[in-house]
Amino acid sequence: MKKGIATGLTLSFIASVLLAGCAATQPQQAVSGADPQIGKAGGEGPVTLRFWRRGNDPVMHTYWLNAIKKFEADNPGYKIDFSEASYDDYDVKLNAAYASGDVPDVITHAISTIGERTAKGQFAPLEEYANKWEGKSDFIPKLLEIGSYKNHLYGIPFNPTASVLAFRKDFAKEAGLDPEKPPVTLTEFAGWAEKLTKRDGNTITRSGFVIPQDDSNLPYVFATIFGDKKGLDATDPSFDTPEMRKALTYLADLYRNKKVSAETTGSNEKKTSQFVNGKAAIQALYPSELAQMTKADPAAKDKIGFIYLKDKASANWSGLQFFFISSDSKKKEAAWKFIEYMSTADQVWERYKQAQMPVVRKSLLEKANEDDKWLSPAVAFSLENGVASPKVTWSNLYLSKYTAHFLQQVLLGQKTPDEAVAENAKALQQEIAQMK
Amino acid sequence: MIMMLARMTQANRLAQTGRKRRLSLTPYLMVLPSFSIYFVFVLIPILMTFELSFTNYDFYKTKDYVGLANYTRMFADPVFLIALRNTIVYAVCTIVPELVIGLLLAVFLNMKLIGRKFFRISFYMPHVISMVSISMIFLWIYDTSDGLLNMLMKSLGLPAQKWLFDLNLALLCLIIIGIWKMVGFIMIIYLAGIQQIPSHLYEAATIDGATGVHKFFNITVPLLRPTTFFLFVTSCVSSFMVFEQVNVMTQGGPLNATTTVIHQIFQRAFVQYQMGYASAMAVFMFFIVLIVTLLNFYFGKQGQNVDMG
Repeated sequence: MKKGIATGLTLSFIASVLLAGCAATQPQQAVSGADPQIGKAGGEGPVTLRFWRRGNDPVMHTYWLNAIKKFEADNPGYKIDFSEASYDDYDVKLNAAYASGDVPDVITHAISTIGERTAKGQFAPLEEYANKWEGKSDFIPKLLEIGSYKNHLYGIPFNPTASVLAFRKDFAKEAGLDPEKPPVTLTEFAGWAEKLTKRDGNTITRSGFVIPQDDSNLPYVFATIFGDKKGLDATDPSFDTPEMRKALTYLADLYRNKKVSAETTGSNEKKTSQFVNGKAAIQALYPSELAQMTKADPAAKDKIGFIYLKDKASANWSGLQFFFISSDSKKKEAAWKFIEYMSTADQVWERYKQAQMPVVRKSLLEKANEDDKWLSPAVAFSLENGVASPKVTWSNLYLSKYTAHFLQQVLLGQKTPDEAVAENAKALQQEIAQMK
Repeated sequence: MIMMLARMTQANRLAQTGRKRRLSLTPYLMVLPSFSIYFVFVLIPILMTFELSFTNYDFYKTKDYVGLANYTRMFADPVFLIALRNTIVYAVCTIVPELVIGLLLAVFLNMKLIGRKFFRISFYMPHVISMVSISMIFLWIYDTSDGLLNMLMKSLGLPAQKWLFDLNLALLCLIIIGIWKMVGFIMIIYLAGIQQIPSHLYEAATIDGATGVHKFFNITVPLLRPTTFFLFVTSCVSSFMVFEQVNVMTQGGPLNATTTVIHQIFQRAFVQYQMGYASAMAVFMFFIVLIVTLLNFYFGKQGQNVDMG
């Protein structure tokens, strides 16, 4: 009898485990297979779209929650299952989703991912929808072009992540500098960074200019200022140019000789930005970070100015975030409807108002410039002189691994700029060959 | 003679029948639920990792068999070799101090001290706090501008250090965190072991004129040998698996000074989409941990036959 009970219980347990395992995909399949039109007609329940956002800053979090609520109210029969992750964790989460086959329908991501993920077939081409879309003609053509890969449109731009070089006017005044005449040349800039640095013995208590040791953007920005023209159009895996060597020499001089930056990494800056905490005088920041700062303290606007550097050229890091539709999505029509809604002039303007997100529609450019005389010129400068990740399959290795590595080698005095770029260019080429 | 053989054969048959009768299905069914979970969530993933290590799986649709290419690449990959070196340094530098400090704490906190319970809880506390939270606290402690440690250094008239940004100090900083977190757990297990040692052994030693040090080295340490080997195994495994503090605090930097094998597996698999290559590293790590554990089990058996009665 006891044996019978034990056997029965065990078998029921195994059966329940197996059923639970199988059942995990059932609701997903049912929804995935649903006709997107069903929900609209109010027939068999709502269409649930899974939307993943890259980033978790509070300003944009609030925007997305409100925008989704509005979309659902304006489109009965549609439900959005919204999820977000920090920049550091997003790719890990997305890769796990693709590996398990449980992918979101709409994904936001940056330029750097286009080459890699499109080549893998993870994103769906969007011409079928975009060619019928009225709003397309109002989009800034250059931005739509960036969302294309090998003559197909994959990403609809929504967030130009144009970083601006911000400085603290009050700190400049305190250091005897004229805050109304910020530096323009690289020599002036180095002088400012040095004067704005505060020290206590050998400890830097306030950075004159923040140089994260593993920043993969700064070398490209300064190389472009020195005249390098590769930027977004790079197609060969080499960063070994005379301009890059000059840029590294310049940054190493600021870091090692003039000692203008406290030790930090890009990841640490995302956790607690030195500039936002008042522990830095000059730093490259995204408009959303400044929006967060000025929302907390509106008077901060009077204390912050912007620097427009120029040598052979002007440059600033200007990434771009897109909406993508997953190629595995069974609800592409509905996904496009969501993207279309979030790309309307109203939503573009709402993002601008709430998070200082630069506008992507031509019809709003003038309005934005009129609306904000403080940040808009700096953003426009960055968009005009933007440097961004190349759209190649190896952009992740190119930037996150090797650029971060050679900058660190130079800043820590382990290699000369010449040795560092040559050695890392060779290693990158070897790794690309191994990947093939 | 024949009769005797017949009787023996019959006795053997009876014994075999008896064994058959005793062979019950119930115990197997009892372990089946836990084994099913182990099978689905441990064994199958391990086997899949073995399979993936011979492919170029990119986390999506590419999955071609590449033979031993991932393994040959691994031993020519300078970053992997640095990670392996760092992992071994980390393991060696954490395990021994953890065991020594844990044992000493256990011995002291087994004595009748005022506030004994408070100290036991205090030392054990770090073990139950998540490593991510601990890492965030230590990020502030090690901060070069206004971190606690540099404030302390300055107040003592010593020069401030770069801690996590110093090529020579970064790994040491992580080792200290690892020791601090594990020592409480080791102390508790040792404490349980010490309390199992019969008091009459110490009393006899006292009558024989043994000092505290003699008792420690001739009674406590030998009789704790099975406990020590258990702790050695668990410490080895946790030290080889070091990851969270690396990922949160240093991301393997500066210049790979703190990257570990598990951190490299994570980077290759989840950041660089090279799941096949990452699986090869995982298989390598699996065998390293397996060998260390088997050696520990082999040597750990010695001492288990000590009669404590």
